[in-house]
Amino acid sequence: MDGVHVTGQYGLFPTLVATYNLLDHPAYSKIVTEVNKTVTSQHSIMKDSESTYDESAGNNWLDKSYLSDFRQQIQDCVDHYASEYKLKQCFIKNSWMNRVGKGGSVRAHRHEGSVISGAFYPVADEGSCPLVFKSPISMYRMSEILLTEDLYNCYNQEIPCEQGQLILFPSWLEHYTDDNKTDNRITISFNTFYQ
Amino acid sequence: MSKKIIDLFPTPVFKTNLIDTEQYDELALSELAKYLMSDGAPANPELQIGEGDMKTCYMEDWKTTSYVIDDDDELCDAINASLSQFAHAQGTEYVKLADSWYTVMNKGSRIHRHRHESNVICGTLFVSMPEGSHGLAFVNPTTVAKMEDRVNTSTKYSEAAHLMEVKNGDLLIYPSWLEHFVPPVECDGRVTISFNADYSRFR
Repeated sequence: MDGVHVTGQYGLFPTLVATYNLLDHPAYSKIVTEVNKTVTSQHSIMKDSESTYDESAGNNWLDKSYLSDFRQQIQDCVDHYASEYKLKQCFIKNSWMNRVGKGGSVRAHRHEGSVISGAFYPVADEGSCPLVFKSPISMYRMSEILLTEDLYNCYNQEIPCEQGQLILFPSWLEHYTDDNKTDNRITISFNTFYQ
Repeated sequence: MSKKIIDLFPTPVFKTNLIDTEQYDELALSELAKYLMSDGAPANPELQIGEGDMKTCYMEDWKTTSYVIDDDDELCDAINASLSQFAHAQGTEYVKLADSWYTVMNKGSRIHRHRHESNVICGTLFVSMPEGSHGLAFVNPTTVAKMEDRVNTSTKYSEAAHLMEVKNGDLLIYPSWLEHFVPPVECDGRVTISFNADYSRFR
């Protein structure tokens, strides 16, 4: 635009999301083996999908001793996220597995009582539905008439679902998925809290 | 292991300096500051959202009655151009300058947190910023959601408010919904012109 000189364009108060590629981790095959023998059942937060999540039985999918190396890797990622955010150290608490097939989806939710939450995809067919985060500031924008969607005004932001990828996000950030178009989209989810 | 940091849902704030970018003359800005400080217009009580030794006056018709624009379409054009660029960046329909007012703050005065309802984009031109002045502090709109955060140090992800430091001739443009305030100033003669902008088809 002629005649205009912006010397500073600031994006204040962003929400931190981080991704980590764990596909090459030496214990990856152990995770896949465990995924294949895990029994899941329907859960109310999911449509046409299954989960191990069960408050009464406890959620400790990642706590098996033979997965400890991989669990530690995820904890290292949580430490990295906390370091970027300058949060006090958080530790993995509960963890569970979700199985979403064709037509399945996860309803919008957040993770109350947690600080940082994560979704790791041990198995994800190409084209699996992304994780969608809802903008925490769209509610303020009642006066804005949008012409195009961009970084500053989007209602939602998608993070692609890629096999071997871990996504970390603040537990307060609402998220969901649209209907999945693949047969296999498996997630290990977890919450964290302070010591 | 590859890792990637993604900053989602930022709130845009633009800063430009009208003097450095040769959109406005330094001497004219200085004269404007003197004029506004000596202006005998009564304070508009509706705009007194601060406390201490300060005065806020409304310019009912920016284009015809104020000293600023009578001799100075240049300033009006510069502000409208910045507003257009901001609207473009945040993907909204174009806006035009609507109402405006000026504020003179003296030592110990402050402006409480507020936002500009029924407007789209607003801004502040810093006409005179003596040493000890503050710019604008913007309030983090996501704090309300963060009941479990315990931080070691404040960062852009966690800060409760972000103070934008400014100098003479700086122009800040920001969304009208974004709450902001001025911390207590430690000098006399902090002079600003603030304005709202709205969709031209509604005016």
